[in-house]
Amino acid sequence: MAIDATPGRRASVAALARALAMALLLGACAAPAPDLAAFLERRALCDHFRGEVPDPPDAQRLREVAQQADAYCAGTDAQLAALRQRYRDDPVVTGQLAQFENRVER
Amino acid sequence: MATAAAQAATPATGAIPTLSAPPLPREPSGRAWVGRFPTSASVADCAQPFRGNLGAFIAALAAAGASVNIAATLRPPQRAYLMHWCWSIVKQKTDPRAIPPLEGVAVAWAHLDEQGGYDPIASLAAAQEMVEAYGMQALNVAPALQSNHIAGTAVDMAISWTGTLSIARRDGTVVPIDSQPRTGMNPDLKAVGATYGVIKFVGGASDMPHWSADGH
Repeated sequence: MAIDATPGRRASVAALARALAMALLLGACAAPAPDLAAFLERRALCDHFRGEVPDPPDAQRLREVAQQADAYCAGTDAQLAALRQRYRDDPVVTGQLAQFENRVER
Repeated sequence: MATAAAQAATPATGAIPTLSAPPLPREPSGRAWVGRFPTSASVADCAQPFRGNLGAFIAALAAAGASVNIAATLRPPQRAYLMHWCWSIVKQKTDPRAIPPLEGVAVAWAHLDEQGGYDPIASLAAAQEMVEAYGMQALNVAPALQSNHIAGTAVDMAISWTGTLSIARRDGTVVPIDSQPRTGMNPDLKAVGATYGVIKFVGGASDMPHWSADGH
């Protein structure tokens, strides 16, 4: 197959490559943010319900709290560890993550 | 059975005795601890300024004819400590000898055998007793050591009324609330509560009775 190497064609390919590189760069920068925001919200709700364990005997309230805690806490210990590793060079995010206990799951 | 008190009171070899007060005798962990440091349902046990704000909001609700039933305000930090660490010994296999002490809670998590050695089986059994007495067998996460309830800045309360609720905001202006639901989940009532610094839980319907100083 012949390759079109005219100056105009070369300029188009170069522009496309620059656009592609920019898109990849933007994607790489933007990708972690939703993970972090979602984690901060979810773990805060997890910690809220960990503070709602009632005095006995209140089986119904305890059941509600346990269900909500399961929903919001499951998997967050591993996520916290991963985020701490990912953002270890970012003091702002490291500070945000410092408020959370390392291990809250059984 | 011996307790950790003797162990704690024995100075290390070569240690220089000091004139500080001797350590308090420690009572072994177990079911007897569970009834202590109960959750309060009193506004008076909240921390200021939330105490005053909550009292004013509840007074406005009462004046408007609403029914308010408080289930919880202050959850003492001593209670949180006991719940957290007994759960952690049982569910996370935390070494009872490694648990940090809390002032005012002279509990011995590490039980000793007849020879004065550490007894891991008795220690675990006592923690298991506490987990069961607290009803936490099915709880998959550690009870929190810090929260708005523990700080005295939260309340769990059921609110209801019939008809239109005419309630005063903090500035004295009266708001007629005829929207639904006629409970603490009513958005117009949440707005009134906010004028008192009593903020409805930000997590929506997942915790309907919860209000606090910051919505958490």
